Amino acid sequence: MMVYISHSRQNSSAAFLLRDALQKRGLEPWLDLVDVTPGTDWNQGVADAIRKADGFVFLLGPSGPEDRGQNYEWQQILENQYDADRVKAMIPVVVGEVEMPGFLKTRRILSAPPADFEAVADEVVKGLKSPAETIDQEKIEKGREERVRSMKRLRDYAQELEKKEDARRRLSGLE
Amino acid sequence: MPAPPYEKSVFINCPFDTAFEPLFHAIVLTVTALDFVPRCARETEGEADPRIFRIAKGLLQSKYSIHDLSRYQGEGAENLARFNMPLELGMALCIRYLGDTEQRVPGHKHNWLALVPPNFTHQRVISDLAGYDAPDHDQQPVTIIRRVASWLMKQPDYAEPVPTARAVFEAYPRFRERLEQKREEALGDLTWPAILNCADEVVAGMVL
Repeated sequence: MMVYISHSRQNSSAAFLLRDALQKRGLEPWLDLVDVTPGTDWNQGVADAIRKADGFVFLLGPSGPEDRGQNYEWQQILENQYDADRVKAMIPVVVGEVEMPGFLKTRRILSAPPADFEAVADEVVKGLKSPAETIDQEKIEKGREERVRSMKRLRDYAQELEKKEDARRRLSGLE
Repeated sequence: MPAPPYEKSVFINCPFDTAFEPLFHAIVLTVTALDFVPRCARETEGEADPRIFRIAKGLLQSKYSIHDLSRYQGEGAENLARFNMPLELGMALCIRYLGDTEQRVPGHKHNWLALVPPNFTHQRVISDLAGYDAPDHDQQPVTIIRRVASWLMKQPDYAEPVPTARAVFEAYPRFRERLEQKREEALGDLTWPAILNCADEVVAGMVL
């Protein structure tokens, strides 16, 4: 099974530790720092690997304000879902304080204390085998309830705008 | 009138002409389906303030903005290019980076998406964007839906469950059909509230 490791440049050493732990468990981890052939197009290499991957691990930790590489990886992974004919596991592994991107908020989050990637790798193996179990159903249910409220807010807002529009038309003699 | 929540507001900055309309509608539907609130200059049409003030206000009330830079070519007999989109992207950038300074507006961390034409041609007319991987599009609604959905999904205020980008594209013809019905009912005038109502109606019928 091929697993793509997405990481910010500031978490490269953690990415190597995770790669080793996954390799020991018979997986094929893909890490750009190792697997993009020098002299080839990084973007293309990443896009190809993302298409082939059976699942994704997102190594999240303190990063620079805008990590261009990681941003590109996420865009590719999310766009790829459009054509995917099966659900692929997306597993966040947190190695420090981080603002979680929206698409990972309903996933079961794994935490990796410094240098301990063995337990994390075991969980990643389980997640890759059962992608549905990487999703936190409780969070999905909460999200569903919130969505009902936000759809109502949108409806109310559109109604308010409509009233304003009607009033404007009456004033200008359009109606 | 209370504005929609700041962290859910997405200000759309794109051409409002007939040629771009299918793409504008694709953006509106995607933003709504992904549980954000589409905002644009059209919501304050008819107000006395100059347009640029209304745009600034809308941008300040929105944590996110989408700017289409795919139309940079000259138009008409005099071959003039329109500068509105880059101007408004500049305003969004200013809000974004002001957020990192001592002059920041509390709670504001604006984020923006610039959509560009394919093959990096935009870099010849707006080279300062070099180094920013702007998603490109080929003027097709399906591409716009994919690009906008993927970008919104990365934002911290995105919350699942939402329909997939593919489901949004499948619902798009129904949305366009409803908009045409509304336009006919209103004798050719498709208002912004009518667009929002149609988006709400179509999204409400989508399976999560």
